[in-house]
Amino acid sequence: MTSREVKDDKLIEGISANSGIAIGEVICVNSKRRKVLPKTISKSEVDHQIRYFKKGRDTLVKQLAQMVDFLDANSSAIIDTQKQIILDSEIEKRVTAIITEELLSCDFAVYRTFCDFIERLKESGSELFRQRIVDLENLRDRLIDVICNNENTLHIKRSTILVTEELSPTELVLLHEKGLSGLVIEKGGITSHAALIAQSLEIPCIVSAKNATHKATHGKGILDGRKGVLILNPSKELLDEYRKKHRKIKRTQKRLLKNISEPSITKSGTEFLLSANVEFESELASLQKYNATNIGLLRTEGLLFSGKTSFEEQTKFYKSVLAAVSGTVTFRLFDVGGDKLNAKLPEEPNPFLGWRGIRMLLDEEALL
Amino acid sequence: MIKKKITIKNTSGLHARPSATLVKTAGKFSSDFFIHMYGYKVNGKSILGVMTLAAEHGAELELEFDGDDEKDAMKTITELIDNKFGFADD
Repeated sequence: MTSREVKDDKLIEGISANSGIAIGEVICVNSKRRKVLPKTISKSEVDHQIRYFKKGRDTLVKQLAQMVDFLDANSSAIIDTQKQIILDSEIEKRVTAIITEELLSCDFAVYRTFCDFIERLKESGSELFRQRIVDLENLRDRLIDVICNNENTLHIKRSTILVTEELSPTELVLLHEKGLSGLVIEKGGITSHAALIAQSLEIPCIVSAKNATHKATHGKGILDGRKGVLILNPSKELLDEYRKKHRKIKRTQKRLLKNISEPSITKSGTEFLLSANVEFESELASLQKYNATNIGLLRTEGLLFSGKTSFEEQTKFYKSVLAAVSGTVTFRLFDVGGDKLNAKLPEEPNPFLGWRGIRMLLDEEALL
Repeated sequence: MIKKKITIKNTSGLHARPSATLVKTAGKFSSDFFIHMYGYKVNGKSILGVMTLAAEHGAELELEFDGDDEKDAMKTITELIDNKFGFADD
């Protein structure tokens, strides 16, 4: 990605959505649609990755060629220029070099190569090329789109802190499984879906961090979830201080856990139920940790969004959920809400109270 | 290897379409083609290279050709730049 000047102790501020401290590499995803993260590959994958790049390039050139047929001479000249850019020998040289020498995946190689050129155009300060920059960004995104159809990737290293404009719940879960340690989101509030999931996955998280993706730089960072700040390139002293705090929080958590392992009885002797909300398999591990014997709400839509819809996959999911608790599990039946799906559903005055959940399932008994 | 100094004559400089024409023309020759400008050196057969020069009207370039058809290449490219890439001034 682009290199920018780095100032010490740079701060990104937002609203705390989940407390906790994360220390790790900051990765910034600063395109609206694009989430391209560096992913390391093994030497044996190099040829594959180069092939993916070339295949994607050819596909995009073909797409552009088809467009030319519908355009007047002036516009087709522009498309021609775009074709030239995609087939540019410098692009190929750099992309290949990044894949072969740095062992990074082709989508990221394309991303960084284009970003480097874009940055150089910006530096030139020429008004002439302002529009071209938009074009280049557009070409970059389209090329990556085409490549990602061949191979879908969203990869991070362990203990990464991600700075992004927005993030879908499913993406967050995937990232969590790969070891995401902290999350900074430009948009959304503390009740936005990603924030709620960050809470349940115990990922320190800041939301409403204005311009975060523009300010963030690559390098080490400290995310202070409670204060709602991300500190970029912290000094050594600050790092030490936060490492201490981090350990302290862990100790406190341990104490609380000890507390929680005691029987669920109030001081006056009344027993109460300790239940949990669960949506993803990866959350099940916390149940035992927090001594929750029941699941008060099991969301089942996550299956759909992660594409696990076959009978076997569903069975596996439900089995592991049931195995995780000794008490009861309350299922929420396939409740795909008004804001989550734009499939062929009939229009309703209030999709949030309409044909969903059990009402829909009783109509469509095959699904049940 | 041969070199030649030349000035950009288009009023709007070496913008995307002249760059495209330049690169396309250069691609017809087997010789390597580089452009030097104010200490930068770019591959003249790469549109992005040429664009990142952001050569404006009056910019002084040095063209460098190296290969079997370097003389032909230099002649053609020089004519192209002198003729403002065949674009009417915009």
